[in-house]
Amino acid sequence: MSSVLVADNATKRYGEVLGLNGFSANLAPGITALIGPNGAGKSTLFRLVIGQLKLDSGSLSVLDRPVDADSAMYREIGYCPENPSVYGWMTPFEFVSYLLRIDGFPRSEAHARATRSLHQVGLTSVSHRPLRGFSKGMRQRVKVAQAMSHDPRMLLLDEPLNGLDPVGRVEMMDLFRQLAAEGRHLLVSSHVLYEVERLTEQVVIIANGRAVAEGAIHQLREAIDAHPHSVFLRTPEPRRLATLLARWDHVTALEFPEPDAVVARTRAPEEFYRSIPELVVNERVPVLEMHSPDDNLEAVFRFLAE
Amino acid sequence: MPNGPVARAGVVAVATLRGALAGWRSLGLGLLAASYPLIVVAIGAGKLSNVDLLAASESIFSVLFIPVILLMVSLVLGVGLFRGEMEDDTLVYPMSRSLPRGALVLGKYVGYVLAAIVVLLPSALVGLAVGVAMNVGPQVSLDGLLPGVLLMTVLAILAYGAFFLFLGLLTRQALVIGLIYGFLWEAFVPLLPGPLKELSLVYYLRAAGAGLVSGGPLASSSAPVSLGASVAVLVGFSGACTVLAALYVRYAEVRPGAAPA
Repeated sequence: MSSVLVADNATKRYGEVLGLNGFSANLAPGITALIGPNGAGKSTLFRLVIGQLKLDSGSLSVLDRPVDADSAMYREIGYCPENPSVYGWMTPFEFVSYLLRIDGFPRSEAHARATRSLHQVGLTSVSHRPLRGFSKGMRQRVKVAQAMSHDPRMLLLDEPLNGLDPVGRVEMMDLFRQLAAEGRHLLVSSHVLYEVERLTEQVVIIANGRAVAEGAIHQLREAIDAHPHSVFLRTPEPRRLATLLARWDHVTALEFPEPDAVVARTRAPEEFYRSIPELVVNERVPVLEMHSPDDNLEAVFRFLAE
Repeated sequence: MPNGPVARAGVVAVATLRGALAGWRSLGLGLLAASYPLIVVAIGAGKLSNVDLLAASESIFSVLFIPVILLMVSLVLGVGLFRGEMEDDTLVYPMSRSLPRGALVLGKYVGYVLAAIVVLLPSALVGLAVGVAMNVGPQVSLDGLLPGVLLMTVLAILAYGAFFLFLGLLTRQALVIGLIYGFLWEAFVPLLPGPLKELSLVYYLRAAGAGLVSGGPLASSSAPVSLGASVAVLVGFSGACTVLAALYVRYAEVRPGAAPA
């Protein structure tokens, strides 16, 4: 198999708004990062693959089969949506077991697989608590667990690191690497390049519904590094965290947009993302959430789109 | 050996039943359903010697329970089957699985029917039982009423639920349209002259009830439709709405109104 996902001029409109605008790409086996700002068309692409949306024109195939040909093909695909919604009245164990059982697994096997998947994402101890009380990060883990629970050949992960704390991000990226090492293909979307480049060299940049660049990540770095990068960190100790971050040479500015949050601007995002887990562990400063507002990447995407 | 589509639809039905009966919404629906026996008890407790409580409970069943209470419960539960999940964006989970779309629709519909029966049937039976027990007139048995009441309740749950399930797929305004349908169309179309009244579901529901009840208000339907024909129309309507819903989920888009990024 030379390509795991082939898109040829795939177009999807929402009335006057273009979700995908002639998107063409050939994704090689392994892990591929789909990078683009919010509204670029990443989620539209995923929802076309799972059949929730229908193409207006062009073609899209996954694992050598056209999408939405029949529901049986979804046995080969695992999907982790971006939205944090889950069935709040279920426990993680019930949620994953339910999805496995509607996939056709007998009850005993569904239970065994659910237990294993929840263990892999580190949720064994809370697997019988109702999901309605879960944080965004814990829900993210549950969504990843259900996506991989049926051992699909291809995983579609839409912003899977959103809402996770720094240590959780490292754990989740280790899990993704492990899944790829087992022979699975992963398409991971993100609006944070520095995050996914630690997962893979293969990248597709999407902007305004089109694939504007495709290939090795290091070729795109120069253009992207020229732009300052901001990182949002939620913490109950924002002043202390800011003091620690101010010691780093590459941090050029610190802001407090909310009482329990810090936004740091950095000239060296790669080093920032590499160092933050170490800071959290060594200095015992709790960071509950970390993400990058994507406005600082807009200029890069516009540049590439031109 | 993977389970077949019917077994998988059964799993969906059980989950739908649990989801429908979880949370505050089910409590509200239960209270709404309980208003029927409470009204009958209130009339009985008033000790109005000139009121035939059994006839009153039958009348309230026919003009309040079926076209208002049952319709409202069916509307909330039926629309919520897909529209609720589309708006919550949880429909992506079953949609991204190998479950055939028809089995998804069937499972949700069966789950709805079970949930609606759990919420509505006890109230219907208790309301009529109170009417029989507290009746100060000639003593009658519930046996003569029971088949008609059961049939009307189950047929109404089947027909209204299938319609509201399909409506919930088609539009975000399903609740509003459903209310207009319930309180205007179903209320006034049966009053129209000639064959126009046959365009309402309640016309066939009353005819079905009258076909099984020998006396009293429930037997007084003037519809010249036989029991068999009424049941066939209502079951056929339910089946047609369910099949259309399955085709819609298979071939059309089922997404919230806002476009995904």
